[in-house]
Order: sequence, then C-alpha cells, then structure tokens
Amino acid sequence: MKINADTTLLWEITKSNFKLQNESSALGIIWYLLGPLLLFGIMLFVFSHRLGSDVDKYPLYLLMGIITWNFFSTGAGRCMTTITGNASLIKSIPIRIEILIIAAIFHALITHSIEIFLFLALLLLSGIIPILIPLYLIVLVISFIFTIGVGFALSATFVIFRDVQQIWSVITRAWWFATPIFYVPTTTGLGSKLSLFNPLYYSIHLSRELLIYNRIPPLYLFVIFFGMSLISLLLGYYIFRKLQPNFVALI
Amino acid sequence: MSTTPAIFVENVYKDFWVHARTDATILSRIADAFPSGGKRLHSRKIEAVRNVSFALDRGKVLGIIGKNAAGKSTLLRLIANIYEPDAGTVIVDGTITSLISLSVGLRPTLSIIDNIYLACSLFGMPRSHIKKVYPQILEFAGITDACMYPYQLSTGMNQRLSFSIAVHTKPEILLLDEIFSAGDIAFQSKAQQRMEELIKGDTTVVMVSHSIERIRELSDVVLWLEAGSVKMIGEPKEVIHAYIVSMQRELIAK
Repeated sequence: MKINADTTLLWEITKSNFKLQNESSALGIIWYLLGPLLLFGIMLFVFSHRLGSDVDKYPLYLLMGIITWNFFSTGAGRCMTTITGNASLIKSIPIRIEILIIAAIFHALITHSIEIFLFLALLLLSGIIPILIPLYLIVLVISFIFTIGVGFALSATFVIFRDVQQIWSVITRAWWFATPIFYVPTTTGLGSKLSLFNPLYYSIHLSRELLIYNRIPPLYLFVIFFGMSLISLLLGYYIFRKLQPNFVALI
Repeated sequence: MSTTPAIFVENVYKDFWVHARTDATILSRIADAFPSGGKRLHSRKIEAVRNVSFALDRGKVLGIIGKNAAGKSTLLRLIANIYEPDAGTVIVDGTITSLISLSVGLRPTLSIIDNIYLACSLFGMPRSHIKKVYPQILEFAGITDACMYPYQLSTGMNQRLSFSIAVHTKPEILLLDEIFSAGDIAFQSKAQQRMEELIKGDTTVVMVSHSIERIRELSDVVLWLEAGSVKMIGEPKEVIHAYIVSMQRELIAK
C-alpha cells in the first residue's frame, strides 16, 4: 500500500512537472529537441574542422556528449530548487521530500529519453545499428544514480545557502570544459588524469563506445563509474538527511 | 479496536529562530554565526509551543482555540510530522490527511482532473483508489467540468475542491486549519455534514478555528492555547466559556 502510494505520487509529480513546463512555453515539447540541437549545430560549425577533424563520426560523437551532459546538468539543476520551489507544499503536508527530488530527475529523464530516441534515429540514418542498447541502459541507470546523489546534496545545501546556485553555475561551466564533450581526451598529461576522476567522462565515454562505435568497453570502466555513483548517492543522501531538520524553518 | 490513543503528545516544545536577514547567502550565514557585540542581534527566538501534553482517543474531535500566534498551527504541524519537536514526544497512530492550507497541492495551470490526481497522491492515495473517488470529489465540490483549470474558478470554488479532496481520502486522522470559511453557506453546511459522517466513521479530527461556534458543535475536547502553552483543556462548554470570559476581560481592560 505504502509503495503503491509512493509510486503513484512519484508518477503524478513527474507528470505534472512535465505538463506544467510545456504549458508555459509556446513551442512546448519542441524545445526539448531544439535546445540541444541548436547547441549541437553551433558547436559542429565551430569545432568540426578543428578539434573534431580527427574524430570518427564527429557529429554523433559531439551530440552524444551534449545530450549526456544535458541529462546530468538539467537533472541536478532542477533538484536544486525543488525544496524551495515546493515550500508551501512541504509546510502543509507531511510529504517525503525525497520523492520530490527523485521526481525532478525523472522529469529530466523524460527529456533525455526524447533526445536519445532522436539520437538513435540519427544513428540508423548514418547506417549504424546500435546493438549494444541493453548495455547502454546500464550506463543510463548508473548516470541516474549519480545525478540523484548530486541532486540530494544540491537541493539541501540550496535551502541553507542560496548562493549555491551561483557557485553551481561556475562549477558546471568548469566541469563542462573539463569533460570531453566536444574534444577528444588526451592520453597523457594532466587532462587524462583529471578525466579519471570525472564521473561524466565515464558516462559519456561508455555511451559513445556502446552506441556510436558498437564496442564493449572494459568492465572496470563500468565498475569505477558505478562506484563513483554509489559514493555520490550515499554522500548526497547523507548531506540531505543531515540538513533536513532545518528545511521547514528555512523555506 | 486498538486501545492506544490515536494522538499522544507529551511535553512538547518547539522554538523558531527568526532571522533578521531575509537572505540566506553563505556570507550572511557566516555573519549569523558570530555574535555582534556579545549578543545575537541578528535573530529572535520565538517559543511557539511550550510543554504541551494531551492524548486524543480514536474517533474523537479535538478543537484547538487561541489568539493569533498562540501556536495553534505549529501544534498542528507537529502532529502532522511536518515539524520535529525540539523536546518531547509526538506519537500518531494512523494515516494523516492534513488540510493546513486550502490551496495546497492545486496548480492553477493544471487541469482539475490532473490536480485531483496530484493532490490525492500527495495525501498518500494509490492510483486505483483515486480512480474510484474522483467522480465523488467533483460532485461534492460542485464542479461539473473536470477539464477546466483552477485559475478559471473562483477562490471559493478552489477551496471547495481542496476540502472535497481531503475529506475523500478516507483519513484515519484529519487535521484541519481554519477551513470553515471555504465556500458559501450551502457548501459550509455540506462540509459540516461530511465532517460529522467522518467523525461517526471513526476518523480522529484535530481542528484549529477562530469560529467558536463550529468548535463547540463538533468537538469532544477543546484545547485552549495561550503563548504556546496549554491554558486549559477539557469539556468544550467549560473551556470555551473560560476563553470567551478571558477575551471579554482583555477587551474591557483595553
């Protein structure tokens, strides 16, 4: 009964978030595709003859990087304002705030799924049959876990310090450039070492290998990415629980 | 039937710190941590609830009265487990539906049918149950077109919808905060009738209201809060009489 009620709540909140977001814009759902596609077009124009000239199937390589990054940044960003944005609800109903956070990520997952379907269509048009989709779904689940962890931490710290939003925008900008989205990571030097500690590198690299190049990456990459995501989830949830008693008084 | 009380509250305290600053930036939080001139000038402590104790049996109605800022809504939120007490114990045995704010859960730009599904799920109802009760919710609220949006309805109609959703969730414990102003006289009488049905059906109710008449009509026990503490608890007639006398004395003294 409790699980049934919780899943109903999760579904209804995700659904209403999705509907509300589309209702407030003239183009609605088209923006989900238009936003990443415009960014993709600009970056392809700028980089294809420079950084991407040596990369096999560079347009697909770039697009995969953009949409994988988008899932993380949109999901985590939505989580940040979830508690403050639902202040009146949290002050009036004994609701499990965790469900609101997870619903924010599910909302981002819907957008991401639309992008992935479009991406799969592009793969087929390019003559690539993505036979390793089941393995990609594992990467998606691990990415989901990682994003939830970051989302928990961000949502809770934002209640206490509102300038987390500004700090986060600086961090994500630096993180975007540190992640091989539009360039190929170097195999030597500081950049290559940094990538080893970057969960988004694993997420994007594994997705590209599985969907674009139809190659099965070594198992240890999955294990490292899963380990990082687990740490993110445990740490994020710990921060969330630690700060939770202050929420109602501060929103 | 269980013999334990539905709600058990013992020596409960709840304080709030009101920050002088409304911002919540890292710099202001650091400034808050350091007392200025030896005193914490930045914030003020509000003792919202002080040493409150009571037990309410299943199927009984507790009316909470008191002046503004007496701690009534805070006590309701402590029972609802929205606030954690600073000290003391709150034990609630049963599923809670809290109607603390009448507009809660309703999104103006979502259709009424979507709003009903969302609000019912917020009150802990599974989808199969919502499917069964949503025609009753609409009928009780007097809404004929479920495809309309709350922003197309009057404030009164929105309040009727919220009340209708809350009373159709089959709560074991219902917490109500100033809901008797919802809708017109016809709806208020319908609402009272529904409340009586719920009470007969073994629902435990805690309600906060400035409407002394409603409290007198519906309550089995009345709790009078003053400055966060229990001034008096007992038979509705006695407590309400003492409260009115006190209010009159205060008015004369002014």
